Amino acid sequence: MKNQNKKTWIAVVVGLLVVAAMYFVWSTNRPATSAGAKSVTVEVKDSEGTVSSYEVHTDSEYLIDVLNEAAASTEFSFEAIDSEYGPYITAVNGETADFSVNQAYWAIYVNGNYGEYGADQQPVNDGDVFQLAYERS
Amino acid sequence: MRRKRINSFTRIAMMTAVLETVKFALNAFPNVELVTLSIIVFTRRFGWKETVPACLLFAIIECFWWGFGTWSMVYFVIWPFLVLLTTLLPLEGALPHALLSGFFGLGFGAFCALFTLAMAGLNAAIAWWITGIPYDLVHGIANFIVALFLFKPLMKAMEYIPNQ
Repeated sequence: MKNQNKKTWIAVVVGLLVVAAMYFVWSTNRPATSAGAKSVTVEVKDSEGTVSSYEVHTDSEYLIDVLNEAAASTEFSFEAIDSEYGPYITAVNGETADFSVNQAYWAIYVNGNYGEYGADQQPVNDGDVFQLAYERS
Repeated sequence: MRRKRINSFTRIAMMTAVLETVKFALNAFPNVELVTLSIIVFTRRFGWKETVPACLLFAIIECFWWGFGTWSMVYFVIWPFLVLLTTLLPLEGALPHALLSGFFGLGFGAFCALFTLAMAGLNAAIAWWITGIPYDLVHGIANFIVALFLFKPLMKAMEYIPNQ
């Protein structure tokens, strides 16, 4: 029983160390952002392939805030749900992408490249072009 | 024999329903979930032979609900893996099970990254894991707290369900 308790408390300490190590890895590798006045473009490529473009002047550091600002100041609109890995964009400009129906989803492109991060972790830098594209897998 | 089998099927159906219910009930709170704890409790009470089928049924229903993707393959493996861990580890009491639940939450992203590794390579897997660390931390800490407080009451509640 005493041995069991000892193992349990060792596991508690290991758990705390793992949490600290994970935080360290994340904090030293997270994408850099820049604060200040930035001019960025939000593009929407719908299921027909039509591209709409919206200019946003922002101080935001992450894409999700830019999308919210674009929705507040332009005709752009979007809907997102919280998922285990951050906001999951379900609809843009009234067009819903439902993966369960036809494997469709809204992809994020950053300056022409497929985005590596979710909207809440994608850094925003001056001159960036973000495209939300309706795609099917 | 026939009655025993019917009882077993009924328990599997009940466990699947509970897993779906708790998943939906906490959908509004990303990475705070009761699925991990439920599976640990079910494994302790009913054993792996009934809990693994419940996990697989749960994964199938999730696929039909949310669609098939990389993550759905993860579900088919990670929940039975949790059953295996629970079966193999001779744990007793709330704190050890809370630790198991917490470590499982912390490691969830790393486990998913193994699938990314197989499909997209090492760099993509590492990027995937690091990006998801904040969510893994929330997942692990929430799992630990939830299990610490609910493991005993749930085990007590399970006593009302016959396992023979």
